[in-house]
Amino acid sequence: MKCLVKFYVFFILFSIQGQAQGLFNEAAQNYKNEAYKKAIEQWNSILDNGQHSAALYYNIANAHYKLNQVGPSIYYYEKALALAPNDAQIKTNLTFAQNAKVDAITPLPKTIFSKWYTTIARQFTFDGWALLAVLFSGLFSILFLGYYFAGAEQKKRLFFTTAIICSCLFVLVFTMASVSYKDLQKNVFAIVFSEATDVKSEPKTNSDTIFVIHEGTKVQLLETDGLWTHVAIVNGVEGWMPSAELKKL
Amino acid sequence: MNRQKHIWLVLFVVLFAFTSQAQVTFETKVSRKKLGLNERVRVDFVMNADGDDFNPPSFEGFRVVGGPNQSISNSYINRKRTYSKTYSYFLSPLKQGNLRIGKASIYVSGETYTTSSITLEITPAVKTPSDGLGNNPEVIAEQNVHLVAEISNPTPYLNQRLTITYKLYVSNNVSITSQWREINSPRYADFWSKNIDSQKLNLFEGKYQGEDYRYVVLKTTVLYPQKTGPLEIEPLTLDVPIDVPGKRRNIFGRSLTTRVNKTISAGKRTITVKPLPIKDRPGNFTGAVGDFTFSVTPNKKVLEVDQALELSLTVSGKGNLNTLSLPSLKVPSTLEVYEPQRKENIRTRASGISGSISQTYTLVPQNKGTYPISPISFSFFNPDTQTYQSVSSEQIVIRVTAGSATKQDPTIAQTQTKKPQPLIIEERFRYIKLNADLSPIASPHFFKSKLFWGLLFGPLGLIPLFVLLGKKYRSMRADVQGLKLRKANRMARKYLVEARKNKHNKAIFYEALERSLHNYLKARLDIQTTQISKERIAKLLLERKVAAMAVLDFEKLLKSCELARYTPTSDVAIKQDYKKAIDTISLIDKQIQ
Repeated sequence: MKCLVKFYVFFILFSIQGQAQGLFNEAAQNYKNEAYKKAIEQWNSILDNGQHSAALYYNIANAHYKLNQVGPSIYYYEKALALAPNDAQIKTNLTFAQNAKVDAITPLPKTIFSKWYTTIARQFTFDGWALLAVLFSGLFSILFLGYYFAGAEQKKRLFFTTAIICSCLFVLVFTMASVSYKDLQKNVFAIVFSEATDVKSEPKTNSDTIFVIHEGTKVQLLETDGLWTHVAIVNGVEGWMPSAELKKL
Repeated sequence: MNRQKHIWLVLFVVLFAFTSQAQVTFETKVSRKKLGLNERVRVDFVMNADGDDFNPPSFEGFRVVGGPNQSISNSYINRKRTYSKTYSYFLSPLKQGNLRIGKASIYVSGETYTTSSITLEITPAVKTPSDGLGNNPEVIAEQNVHLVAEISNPTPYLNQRLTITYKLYVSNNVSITSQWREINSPRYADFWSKNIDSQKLNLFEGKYQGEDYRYVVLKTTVLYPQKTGPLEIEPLTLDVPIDVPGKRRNIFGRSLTTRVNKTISAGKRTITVKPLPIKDRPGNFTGAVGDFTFSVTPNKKVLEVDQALELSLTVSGKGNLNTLSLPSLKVPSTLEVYEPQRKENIRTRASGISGSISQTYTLVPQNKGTYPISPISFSFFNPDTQTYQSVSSEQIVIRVTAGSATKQDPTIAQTQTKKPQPLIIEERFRYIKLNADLSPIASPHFFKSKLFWGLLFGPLGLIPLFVLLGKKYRSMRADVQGLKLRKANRMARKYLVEARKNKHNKAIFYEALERSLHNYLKARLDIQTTQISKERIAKLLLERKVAAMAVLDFEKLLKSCELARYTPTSDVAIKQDYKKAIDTISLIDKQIQ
C-alpha cells in the first residue's frame, strides 16, 4: 500500500516535470515566432507551479525586453543572475536592458577589498560555499588521519601541511558561506516598475522630493512604513517611495 | 426819568453809529441744495467789499466743471452805493450722499473773512439732467462722446485669453473732425499683453445706452493674465477735440460750431482672475491653457552608433503658447542628449495666440540595442470645457544596429585596430536558453540545515574514533607471538574436543589427539610442523625446563598415538590416553618457561 502511494507521488511529480518541460519548449517556440506575450504567459505559469531556473527567468526577461518593457526585463535578468551569478549570456542581455533605462547612476567607488570580496563571493551561491565547506571538512579529516597514521617522516610532513592548508580553506569557505548568507538576508533589492516616481524625504505625500527615479532602476530595501519603503540607490542616496511601485527581487 | 431818557438816546446814537459803519459780508450761495449725480450746481462766493487774496475751498467730492468766474457789480440807488464781487464755480458731484462745500476766505482791508460751509444733498442720477445753465458746449460735448472699454471675459482663468476693445462712441449731435491725442495709455502689469492697433478706423453704427451712436474701434488688446485674484486695468485717457454745434447761426444759416477739447477716459476696470481648478489636475500639468495637440516625431528610427537622431516635441493649437513649457524628454541614459532647439511659429490675433512651438532634441546613441522612448504626455486646461485634457504620444522604439552594447575604452579600441584582427564578433542580444533545467522554487537551503551540520562536523567527529581503532589495531599487530600461541592453543583445544567426541572411534580419536598435541607444541615451542620429531621435541622441552617425567609422558603419548593406528586398543586405553594427554599438557603448561 505504502509502496503504491510512493509510486503515485513519484509518478505525479514526474508528470509535472514533464508537463513543465513541454510548456517551456512550447513557450520557446512562441518566442521564436515573436509571440512574446504568449511566451511570457506560458513561462509564468511554470513559475506559478512552483518551479524555476535561471534559464526560465532569463527567457522571460528576454521576452519582456523584446516587448520594450525595461523594468520587468531587468527584474527577471536579476532573478536569473541570482541563480546563476556567472552566466555570461545573462550578463550580456542585462547590459542591453540596462542601456534602455532612463537612470544612469554612478555607484559609489568601492574599496579594492570589497571589489575582491564581490568577485570571490560571486563565484558560488551560499549553498555552493556550504558544500565546499563540507568538502574541505571531509578532506581535512582524511588528511589528518593520514598524518596521524603515516609512518615515514616525509609522508607525515606532507600530510600535515596539506591538512593545515585544508583547515585554512575550510575556515575561509565557511566564512564566505555565512557572510554571503547574511548578505542575502540583509541586502534585499527591488526593481522600480513604475515609469517614474518621486523619491521623498519622508514617508508622506506632501514631503519634499529628493529625486525622481525611473523604471528599471535597482534599489536596496532598507525598511518599510505602511505603504512606503525606505530605499537606497547605488550612489548612496536614500529616500522613501511607495512600496507599490517596487517589485522585490 | 429825565436821566433814563438820556441813557436811551446815547444808546441809540451809539448803535446807529455802528451800523452805519461799512459792514463787510462774505457768504456762499448755491444755485440749489439738492441735485442729481449727473447734474451740476453753481456755487457763488459773494462779498460786498473789494476783497482780494480769494481762497476757494477744496471742493472735495466735486469736479470743477467751470470757473472760477469773477464778476463785479456797482450800483448807486438814492445816492447809496451797492457793491458786490462774486466768484462763481460750476461743480459736478462725483458721488452720492451729503457733500460739504468748505469754507472760503477773503482778505479785506487788513481783516480775513470766511464763509460758513454748506452741505449739499446728492441724489442718484436723474433721467433728464438739467444743468440749468443753458447750452454749455462743454456739457454737450461730454454728453455726446463716450469712450468704452469692452472686456470679453471679466472673470477669466489664469492664462486664459481675454480681449479689451476700446470703442469711441460719438452721437449724431456732435462731430470729431481732427485727430485726438492719447494722454495715458494703460499698462497691463500682471498680464502678458499685445496691442492690436486698428489699421483703419472704420465707422460703425451702434447703440450706446439705447441711443443711436456712431463708433470707431480704437484698439484691441489681447491679454493673458499671469496672476490670480482681482487685477486692475488702468484707464485709457484721450484728449478729443469735439465740434459742438451752437444755437447761433452764421449769415448762411449754418450753425456755428464751437470746438471743445475734452479729456475722456474709459475708467478703471477690475478683472477677477480665477485660479485653475485643483481637482483632477494632472501631475504633469505645466500651465498650458487652451486647446492643443501634441506630437513626438523622430526623423529616423533605425540608425547606427554615433549617428545623430532628431526628435521633435511639438505643441500646436490655440492658447498661451508663448508662456507654456513643453514636457521634458526622458530617454534611456545611454542615449546622449543635446540641448534642445526651440522653434516658435506663433501669430497673435484678437482671437488669441495660435500656432505651434516645438523643441528638437538631438540624440546620439552610444551603444547598440533597442531603446524604447516611453510615451510623453502633455496636459492642458481647456477653458471652454473647463476640464484638464491629456494628450499622449506613441511609444517610439529606436533601434541602434551596429556597434557595441557596452562602452568601449577608446585606448583598447586603438590597440585592437593596430593588431590584425581576424574576426570581430560584435556583442549582440543573445537568444533564449532552451534547456529548462527546472527545480522547485521553495527548495530548502542546504546551508545551516541539519544535513549540512552533520556533514560538516561528522568527519571531524570521526577522527578520534579512527585514532582509537588504529591504536587497537596497532597494539594487536605488535603482539604477533601471542597471537600464534593463542591460535595453536585454540587448535589444540579444538582437536582435544574432537578426540573426546570420537572416543569410540579409535582411528579418528588418535588422529585428533595427535593433531592436538602437535598444535600444542607448535604454539608452545614456536616450531613448524615439519620440524616435529620426538628427539627434537624432547630436547626443546628440556631446554624450556620442563620436568623429565612430563617429557617422557609426552613422548609416550605420541608413541601410543602412532601405535594405536596399527594395533587394536581397548576403550579403557583410549580413556587413559585422553586423561593422560590432558594431564601432560596442563603439566607442561605449568612448567614451561
